[in-house]
Amino acid sequence: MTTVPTQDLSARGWLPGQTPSNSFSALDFAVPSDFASCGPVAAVDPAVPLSAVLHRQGRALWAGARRRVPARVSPGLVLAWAVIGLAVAWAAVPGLFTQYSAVSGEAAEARLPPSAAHWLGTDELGRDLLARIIYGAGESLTGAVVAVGVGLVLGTLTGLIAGSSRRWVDDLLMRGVDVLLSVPALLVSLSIIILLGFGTVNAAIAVGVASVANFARLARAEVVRVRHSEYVEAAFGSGGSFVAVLWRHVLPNSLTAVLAVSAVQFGSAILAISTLGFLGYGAPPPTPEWGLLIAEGRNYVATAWWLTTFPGLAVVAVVLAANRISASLRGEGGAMSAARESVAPLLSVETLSVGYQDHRGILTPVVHGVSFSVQAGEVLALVGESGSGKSTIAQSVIGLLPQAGRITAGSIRLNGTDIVGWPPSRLDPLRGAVISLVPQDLGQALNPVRTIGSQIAEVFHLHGWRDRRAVRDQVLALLERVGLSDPALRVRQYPHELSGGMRQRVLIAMAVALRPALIIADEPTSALDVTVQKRVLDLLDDLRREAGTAVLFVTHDLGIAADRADRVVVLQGGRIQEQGAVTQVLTAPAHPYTARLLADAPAFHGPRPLRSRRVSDEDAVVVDGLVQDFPRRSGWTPFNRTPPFRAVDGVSFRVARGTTHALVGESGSGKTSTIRTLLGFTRPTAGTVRVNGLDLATLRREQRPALRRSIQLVYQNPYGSLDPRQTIASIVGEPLRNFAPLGKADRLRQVAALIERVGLPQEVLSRLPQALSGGQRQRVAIARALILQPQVVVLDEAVSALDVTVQAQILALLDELQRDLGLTYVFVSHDLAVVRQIADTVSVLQGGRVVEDGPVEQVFHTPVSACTRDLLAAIPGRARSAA
Amino acid sequence: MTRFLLRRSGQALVVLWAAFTLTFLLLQALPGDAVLIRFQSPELGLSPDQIAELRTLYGADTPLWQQYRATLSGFLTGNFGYSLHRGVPVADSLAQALPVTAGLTVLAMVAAAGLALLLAAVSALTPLRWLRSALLSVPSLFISVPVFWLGIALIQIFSFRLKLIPVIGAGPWESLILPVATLAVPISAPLAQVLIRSLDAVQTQPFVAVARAKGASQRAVLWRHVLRNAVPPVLALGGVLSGELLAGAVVTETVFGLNGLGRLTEQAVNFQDAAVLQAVVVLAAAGFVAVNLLVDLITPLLDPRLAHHRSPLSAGGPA
Repeated sequence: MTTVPTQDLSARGWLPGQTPSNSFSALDFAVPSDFASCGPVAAVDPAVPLSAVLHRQGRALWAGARRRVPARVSPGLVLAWAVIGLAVAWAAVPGLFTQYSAVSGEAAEARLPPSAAHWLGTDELGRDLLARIIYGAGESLTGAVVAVGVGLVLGTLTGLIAGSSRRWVDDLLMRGVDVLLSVPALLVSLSIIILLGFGTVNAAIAVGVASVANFARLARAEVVRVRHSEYVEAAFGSGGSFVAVLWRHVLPNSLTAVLAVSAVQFGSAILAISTLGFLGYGAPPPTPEWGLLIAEGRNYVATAWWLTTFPGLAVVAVVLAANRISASLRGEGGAMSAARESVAPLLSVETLSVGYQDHRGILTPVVHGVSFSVQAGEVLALVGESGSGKSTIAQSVIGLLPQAGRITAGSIRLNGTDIVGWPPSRLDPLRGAVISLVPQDLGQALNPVRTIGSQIAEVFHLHGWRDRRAVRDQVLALLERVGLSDPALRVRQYPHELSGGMRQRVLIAMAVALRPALIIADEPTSALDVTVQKRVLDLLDDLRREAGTAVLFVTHDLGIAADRADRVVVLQGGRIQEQGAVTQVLTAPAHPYTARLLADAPAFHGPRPLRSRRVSDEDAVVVDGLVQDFPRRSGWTPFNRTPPFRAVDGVSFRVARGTTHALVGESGSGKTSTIRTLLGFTRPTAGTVRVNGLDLATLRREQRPALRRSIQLVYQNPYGSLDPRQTIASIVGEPLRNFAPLGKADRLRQVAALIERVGLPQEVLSRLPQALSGGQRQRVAIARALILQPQVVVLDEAVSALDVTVQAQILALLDELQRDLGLTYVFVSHDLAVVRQIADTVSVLQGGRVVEDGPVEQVFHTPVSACTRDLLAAIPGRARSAA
Repeated sequence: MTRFLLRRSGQALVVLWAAFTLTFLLLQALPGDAVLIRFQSPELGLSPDQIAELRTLYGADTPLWQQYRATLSGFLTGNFGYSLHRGVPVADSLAQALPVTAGLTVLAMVAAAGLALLLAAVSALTPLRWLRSALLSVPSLFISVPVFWLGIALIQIFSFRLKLIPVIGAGPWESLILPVATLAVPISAPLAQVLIRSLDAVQTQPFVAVARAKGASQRAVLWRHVLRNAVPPVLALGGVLSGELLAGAVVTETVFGLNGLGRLTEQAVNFQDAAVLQAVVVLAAAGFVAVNLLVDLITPLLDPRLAHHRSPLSAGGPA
């Protein structure tokens, strides 16, 4: 493994970005239709390979392994460990557990049934069966340990090499594993036994070799999974070598999964070895091997049932125990899914309290005595940060609380009738017809295997429409009404063939199909680009006005609430802090929490006052005519007939030292590709890119450390970019280990100083990322980027995932750091409101080209391109901020 | 589609060739010379000359690559060589044994699928918590039971205790009941596990909530939305498990005294009859590859997102 050259990370495919399919989601290349002027650049086949589906399944299985499980031990697990413990004790000191011999017995006592003297009876030679089972434990356990050892070592090595090597090595090894998998394990074992000869150890080796494929696939999948995570990319970005990253991140994060599979394989090995013993290929006859005991007892199956029953039970008990332990290592348990939604029309919610019950029956209240009402035709916005209980309230109203949810008090009156506690059979006729739901489209709100048409038609069928032709006409009319072109084509399409905005329109079509009295819109546009968001919200507004429908709008975005709602309910921690008309609440907030929310929302104040910047003439970053192509890979064929995909097409900009330059554009506009080139993850296809005087197109291997020290990246997602198994101190200190030969104490001192600098308490140093909030994690990510004292920091949507309050704090921190340290920022965002707060200059990208650039004030006040005007018009709450 | 089929068939052939080569190296190139083992025994009273003659007859004295070429061209023309132990062409033995095993394994797969679906459907729909948790623990028990022991236990219970199925003189169908059950139980366990897990995973998807919000009942959602989404992983697993059927047949046929491929395999190992074992391995690999090719062709019909996908060589299990 150490022989893999390290000079060009991207060329080996170590980093996502090598291919478009890695660096962009299918959503990024949405089909045009929602993009009048800011059209996307290409459509990409979003087909999901079966392996990806399986991989996702696998991810789900393993997801629990990384959860820190509180010290809760189930009785079943205790029993499992007890069984394994007893078997190990039998194997180690069998003489302690029985006075009988395993190999000799009294002929006079042949085939005695279980009795006080012989608890499990005797066999045909008068040998005590219990003694033979006890002595047999050693044989079975040793065999299983050898088998797992052989499989683990050979398999993990194969998988590690495959997962971290060049593509052809990977292909070769994994095809070999596929061949091994295509022959039944038992036949593989039998072939090896023919080669090695009979005997317990040989049988164990044979079983081990047959399991190599399982370990190899697991190890490779883990390596690939971990290496595409942001924290591994971040480790490379901070200058880590291949071996260092493997050792620090990949191995520890794969270990639980490997151990869990080892435990399963231990159980399977016991089964397989006993099978071989039963067939007579294992230990020779006098040996008390469990499979052999059953084979011998088989001759007396009609007369001496105990001879086969008890050894079999021993095998079953040990295998069950091993599997149970494996399951606990995988952290399997009934994880409850997150919530969904609801609200009501003509709805009155009174002193509603909701809690979630965990598996021990302990109830955690999340909503406390909330009361509000929605009038017919009114739009009420439920506003609050994540965790404020707004979604839980919505779910209670439509009766779709997660299983663990309990309404503990209060009433939900729909047209005066309390529907709390109604069984599903009574609620079903209301849902869809009286109350309907527009969910947040995470790409999953539509059934992927059914057509758009059939899913919209289902609403009508469920509520008693029988005339297929009438339903079909209605569906086509609806699709047309929600602004989808070519309805006749859309009804036959599947969700994955539509863009995010189009899918959201389909969901709206379903929600308005039966003209319900109330629509619950749960963050209906959070996943969409601002321009699409505006069109979708406009549509919802129009439809609402036409039919006089009331809307309960759940959102964290005060801007949207201000634009769209009549009244606002502000929630915090499950309690209402303030409610009233939107004009009143947002212009003269009575509650300090509302005031803080407002102050933090960037849309509600103008540009920051001009800072006294130490603007130098020197440019820290120069990008000139950058072109970035990505090959489109087509399957196995070595000949690439598809033309490459051009993600960046002649982008130029300069960033003066100590200033902030923003790259703005919708997804798919080339922002991400541009910064990946800046960071040296991909080589430019054409054009010049200079960072701190280093030319990236011609960067030599020995210059790479210098680049890493000059430019660092802060990721959008503070959850994915921190290794879940490392303490904050080692996460922040890791870049130092890659460069400076510092002692541990020195390193810790630097880390501690920086942690304080980014406004975190020293206690976090020993914590794991899970223990921190999103804002705190982003501070950690900033500290990690700064520890090498780079001159340039790239902020990739660095505040987009945060609540507004936290967002404001992080922006303030960035501003302060820039002033104190003279940093240069390249700030990537789709949120113009944020950009106006932090940036000095801006480039607007569309389809891989710069459509407008200049100082922020100029671009904001006198935009020349249609795309920029669209982006500006789409900022929620803009109208109000002008006031 | 045609390109996909051609490519997949090509890949399948490569896998078969690789399996053949691996087993050839393992079995025919092994140090223990099968001919010597068979004929060296003093009881046969063969002279060294006669043994040498036999070795020439079986081709054991030619260089390895010539043996490989001869064996490979034999396999391509349906000539699998001679069984040393039985002294008859391997192809004849296979032809005799295949129908027994084919019937056994196909019935067992169908029974396993039915059992898994039953377990999953009941546990998904039952309102009784205790019944659900009891059903959920059934697969992990099934998976831990040695097949040979299960077979013996079934004989003990149904033939000797309850005397429902005679040990000797049962009809052709009657005599298949216990072997099929023995083989189906361990296969059904992982199928049921994955199906249940897959159902649970799909149930938490937003589109299920949307369907419920449209007013569909729990059962309607299960049939109309959930099941079709939950099946592809199970199908893929079924393809992988099909390989285990033959392994299970080795044990099952030995326990129940059926003269199928499994029994043939067992005897081949006992007598180090490499030619037979090699043919069985290649046959098993062929069956496995064919079943998985079929699975890959069916899956896109269930999930349109997979319609034009670049498939990996093998459908594979949950990695």
